[in-house]
Amino acid sequence: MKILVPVKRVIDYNVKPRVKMDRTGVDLTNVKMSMNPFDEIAVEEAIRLKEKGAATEIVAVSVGPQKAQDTLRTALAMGADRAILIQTDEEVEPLAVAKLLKAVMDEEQPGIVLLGKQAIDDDSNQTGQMLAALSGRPQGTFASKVEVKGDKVEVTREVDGGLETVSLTLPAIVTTDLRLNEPRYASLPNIMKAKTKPMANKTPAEYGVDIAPRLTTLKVEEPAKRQAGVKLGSVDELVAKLKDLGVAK
Amino acid sequence: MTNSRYEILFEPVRIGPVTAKNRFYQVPHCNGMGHRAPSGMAGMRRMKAEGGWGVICTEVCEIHPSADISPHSEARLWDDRDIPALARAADGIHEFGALAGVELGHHGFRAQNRTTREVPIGPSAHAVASYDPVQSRAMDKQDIHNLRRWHKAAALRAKRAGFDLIYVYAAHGLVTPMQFLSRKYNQRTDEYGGSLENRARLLRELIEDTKEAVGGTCAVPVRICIDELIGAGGICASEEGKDVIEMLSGHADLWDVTVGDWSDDSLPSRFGPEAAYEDLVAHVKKVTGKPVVGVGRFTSPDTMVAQVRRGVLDLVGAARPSIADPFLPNKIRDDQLDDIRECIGCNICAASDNTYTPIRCTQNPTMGEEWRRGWHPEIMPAKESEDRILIVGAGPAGLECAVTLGKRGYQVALADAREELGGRVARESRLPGLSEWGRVREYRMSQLHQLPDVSVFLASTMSAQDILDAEFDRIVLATGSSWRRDGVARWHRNPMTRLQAAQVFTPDDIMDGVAIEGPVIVFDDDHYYMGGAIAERLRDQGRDVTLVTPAPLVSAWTVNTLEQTRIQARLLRKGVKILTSRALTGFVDGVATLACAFTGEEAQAGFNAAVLATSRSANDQLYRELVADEARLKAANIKSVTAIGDSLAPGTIAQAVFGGHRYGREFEKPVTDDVPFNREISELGPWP
Repeated sequence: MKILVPVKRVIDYNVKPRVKMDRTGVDLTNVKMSMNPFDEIAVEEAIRLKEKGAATEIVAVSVGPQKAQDTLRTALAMGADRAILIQTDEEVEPLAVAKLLKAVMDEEQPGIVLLGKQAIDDDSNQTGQMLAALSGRPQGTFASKVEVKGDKVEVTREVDGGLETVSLTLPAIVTTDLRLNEPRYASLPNIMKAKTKPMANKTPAEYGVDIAPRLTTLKVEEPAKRQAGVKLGSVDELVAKLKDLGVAK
Repeated sequence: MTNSRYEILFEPVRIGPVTAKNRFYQVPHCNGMGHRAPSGMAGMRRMKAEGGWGVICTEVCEIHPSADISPHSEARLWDDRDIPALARAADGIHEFGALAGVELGHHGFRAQNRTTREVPIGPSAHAVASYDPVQSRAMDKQDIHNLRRWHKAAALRAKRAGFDLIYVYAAHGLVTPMQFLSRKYNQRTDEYGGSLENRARLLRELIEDTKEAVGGTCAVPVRICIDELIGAGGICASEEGKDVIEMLSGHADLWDVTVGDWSDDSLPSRFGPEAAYEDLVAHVKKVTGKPVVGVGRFTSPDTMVAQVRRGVLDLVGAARPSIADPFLPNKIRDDQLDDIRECIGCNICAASDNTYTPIRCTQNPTMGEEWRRGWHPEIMPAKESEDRILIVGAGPAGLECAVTLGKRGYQVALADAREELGGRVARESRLPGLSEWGRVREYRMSQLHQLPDVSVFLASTMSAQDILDAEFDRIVLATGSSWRRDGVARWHRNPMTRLQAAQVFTPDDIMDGVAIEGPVIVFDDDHYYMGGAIAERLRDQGRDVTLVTPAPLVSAWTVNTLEQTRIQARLLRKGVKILTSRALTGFVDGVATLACAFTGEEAQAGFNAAVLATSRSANDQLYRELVADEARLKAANIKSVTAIGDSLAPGTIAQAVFGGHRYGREFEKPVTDDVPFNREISELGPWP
């Protein structure tokens, strides 16, 4: 079975993002970029499935600028077999990505598409779900456990009330959550070896997908600065304050 | 734009006739440069002024040959010829709008006068504190007049040199007015001894003299010990400490308050937290309306604000935090808190003065090098080529090298075999008391996150072939060192023959979590912190521990970092058995042979395991393999292979950071026979 793993190049999670002066977006100039942490978990899960014998080939795919090749190379260094870069310098929304992934699915015919649940730059949490709808395939989102059983995949999902396990007929869409696994590091020697693995270069036009944004960003602002706290002297004072704030009766 | 939370730190403060532009006050601190390296000292102070400090003081400034503390090299104003050197420091400080302070001092009976051969003087006749065969004589009225005259003359020289604050120094037990103040040293029966008022008389007179001489235009701060930390026999903050300040409050323009001796004032992080003495210092503002400054190894801007808001201090004093980061005030002002290099409290800076060498700092490799090598802590020269550099090893040397090269704009890959960065810093900071040392790693990691051209690879063991295949122009090996298993160091220069490997361990094993059953013997021939820290760790784990060392003291070199007494005390209190002046000469079948360091006489004792904290071997196998085949390097287009840090020669973490920084800053420069730094040559005196 082939596993398709989309990965996204995002601002590194250690970096403190700064909003651009003109408030049109986050300043990405000279900022460290890395693979989206949830996508690392997806790559890791795909590799573990291959190591268990449940998968035969892992294909990593990314939609982004030329530099997204570095992100794909990290996936290859971790253990993916082959990579596809769908190159564009434009901003791509989850719907556009989902449409492109649908086209890739048609070509590659994977048994599972393993995505990160969301990207840490936009926090959309939409691509996996949209892909499931576009492809008409079942989805198991927020996975904390993935088990292939014959022609089905059992996905344990983290939901508000606890854990829910669903059984999906392959091909299926799975999105990863934090506790699914701890990804291995892409070592430097493996990065070097990954340069010999196939990397295909495509464009959105080649897949016949219109990636023009459907949304207009009106403004981007930093979150409000945290206000100073107030020290109270007694429980009575606390209750009075809570009543003033309207959160207690 | 200042985060409004910290605005209070940038309020001006009036000190007598002068005004400090903010509350950041670099209190007097030694630096090993002093009168022997005046431009070095001036360059260091100037850098702090550039970094935004409101007040910057010199180290203690010797006022007269009757109190000479050589070979310590402090500032000096013996006569007019000493003025230009001090003026250079004052000018540098003024260049960036800071106030310049000078701490005039006379070391009384603590001065051995090794150079001047004068008889030391003090309140009563006492042996000097060190083991020099020197004793002082008690000062008579003429001596007191003389001291007052010398102090006034020095104050006038200091004013001519351009200083804005001219101290009277009465702290740390080191100087005459404090020696008079202390019942420990003052057994006089005249009007300068006995009651607190009498013991404070000399101090009061010196303050009045100084104010009279320079007080119109200069502020006169008083550095005073408010608690000797010796209990009822000494000055206590809540009693005499408070009383003397209240008594003299009308006289001083500012109170620079200290506690105990130098090892208390510069409390190492291993033995105390930030703001350790707040309870004692808090008494001072109750009895004076004058501004108060004090230290506490303040590294957190929030702690600094709290000291002011809580009414403990008016000015935030700092020595070590200003050494670790001369640009601390500017970084707080500009909301660059993540870029602050936090002091780790290792006291390598103090060790510099105690070894009579220019100051250095583990966190700040440019400290002491501002003039000597022209190094600026915040400015690196731009890259000179498009060379891509691979650094193997992300310990302190590798991390500093990567950060320095990254800041210069170079493309760097930093690879480490482990799954965490930090090398020995990560491991050693987990030993008892050393957790703040982890800041060496944390600071550099925070910098790496901001350097997109530096890529970090963990879990990346690099073989020679991996390095050759990696397509880099320059290779830096920062692969660290390993503790030796053969006992070789200072006592044994050749591997011990009577050693049974199975039950012999090293600090690396302990840090790797290898479980050892006691009783354990720890053989320390390293004499810095490792032997003691390992003994403490094993003892904390409940083992029966005996620490053996050929030196007469445990962790002997830590006398220089002001930690030795506390280390030995802590180990004794924890029940570690200590055998000094003995060497481990054999350990076979559970029997340790110990030889007396003086007579060589051997004795035997039973132990389950031995830990050898002796010396380290550089991990240089990879380096040797690479440089052995020049043709292979050439074929791979590698321009240079360089070992740095412990992998060149094991040393301190400070030395590793320095080595990494030096490579990063200067690797393009050809190595010549020229002296690699500026120096000042003494002016020849008159000759027949």
